[in-house]
Amino acid sequence: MNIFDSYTNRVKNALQQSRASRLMSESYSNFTGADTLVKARPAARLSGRMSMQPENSLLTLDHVITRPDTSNAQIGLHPDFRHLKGTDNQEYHYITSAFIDIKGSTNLNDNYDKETIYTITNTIQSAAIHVCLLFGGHIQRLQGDGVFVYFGGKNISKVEAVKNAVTATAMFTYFVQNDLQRLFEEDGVENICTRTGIDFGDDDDVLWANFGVGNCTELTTLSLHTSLAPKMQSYAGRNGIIVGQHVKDRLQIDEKSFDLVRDSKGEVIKRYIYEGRKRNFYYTQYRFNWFNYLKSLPYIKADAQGNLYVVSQEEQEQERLAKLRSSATLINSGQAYTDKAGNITSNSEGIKNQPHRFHYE
Amino acid sequence: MKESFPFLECTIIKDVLVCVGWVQPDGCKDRYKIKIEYVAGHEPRSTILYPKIEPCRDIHMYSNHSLCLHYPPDMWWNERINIHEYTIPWVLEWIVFYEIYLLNGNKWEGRQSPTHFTEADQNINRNID
Repeated sequence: MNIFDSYTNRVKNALQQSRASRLMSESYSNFTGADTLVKARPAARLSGRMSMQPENSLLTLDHVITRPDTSNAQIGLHPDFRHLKGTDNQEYHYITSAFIDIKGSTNLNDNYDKETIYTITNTIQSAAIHVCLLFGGHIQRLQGDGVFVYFGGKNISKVEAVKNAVTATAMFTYFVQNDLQRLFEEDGVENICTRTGIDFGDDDDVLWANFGVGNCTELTTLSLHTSLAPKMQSYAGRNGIIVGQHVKDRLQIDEKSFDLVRDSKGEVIKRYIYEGRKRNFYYTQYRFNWFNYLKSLPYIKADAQGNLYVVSQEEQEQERLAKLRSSATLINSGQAYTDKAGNITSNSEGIKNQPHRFHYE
Repeated sequence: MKESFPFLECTIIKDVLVCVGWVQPDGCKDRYKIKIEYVAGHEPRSTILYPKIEPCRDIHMYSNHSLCLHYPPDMWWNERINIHEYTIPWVLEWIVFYEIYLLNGNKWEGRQSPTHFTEADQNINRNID
């Protein structure tokens, strides 16, 4: 996906440098002083460290989302609840929790040196962080290669928070499944993938508070649904996203986008991610068809090879103008109908538009 | 009205039917908040409440943000005319043509009354309006 090109190129460069170094060390291995040459490699390397500012390619999203100010973003410090940090105060407020894990990075050890692995894994993790930040996510915690993110806050609707979580993680999953996979295949590295769990806890179910002692504290949430996100992730297949019932309810999209979690034979393996027998509360998890969801977004298109990309602003405006002109043609031909949602259409189930001329007296 | 256009909330205030709702026809960049006020037998008043649009003759919008949707000699309004069949679709057409107007260099592509653009109109400074 074009929005991740900067990250793909970083990984590509790291892999190319690694191949070049490997060739060099093999060529010089019979000469005295080869050790010195090999040790000198890191100085010429690309820095693996990245800033909070998303890379340029991700900024292609600027015309489709309102980019939040991420310059002061801090890990584990959601700005809407930072007043609770270091206090005994507590607050109830909804949140969407997402846990994105990156699997298979240990396989890199067979192929690359530590500096290269650092650049690769840090770039992948940075891509996850940046795309989440752009969609209003707040990074709560890094767990190994994984990222735990909150979506939502006091000035965003619950539905928007859920949509943002799903969109950001779906885009990241596409990046890992396609762009990264192609790069690693050239080196024969397999099994790099991502797995994600997302759940939503409502206002009466999520307690924000300061946990820990002294300087060892964390501002975080106490909620069944925050805990379920990482648990669901463990049921996701390669490059899969599992969502809780509350996420499904709020997304309000086609039922076909969700399926129960099944094994390779199609048998349901874990319908309820939580079974509270005492409360008689059974909570369902779903495998989410994130690819179809991405394709349904108005600013995502597929190229001739079927690769998804985010359309440019110009392309989006042209497409919009084409839709408007199509409506105008229908109107001016006298064949227009207006449907219940207010769209101009040729479908005769709507109200037939009557001829008229705009005027101004 | 509600059956044909569920996005409208309708109430009757002192014998005036007032319908308000948000709508975004396909291809439009903005969501529009529209208001229709109707007194039986009279031509309804249709107003764009949001977004804030600079009114002008070119876009058939009066200074109070109401729209001039039809040329009276084409059809004299009477109490038998249903606003859900006429006014609401015309407001939605207005939105479509307004969005095109914003994209095409300010040309109105909807059909206009013969008195709207005369030769004399072409030469006036529209800012005077």
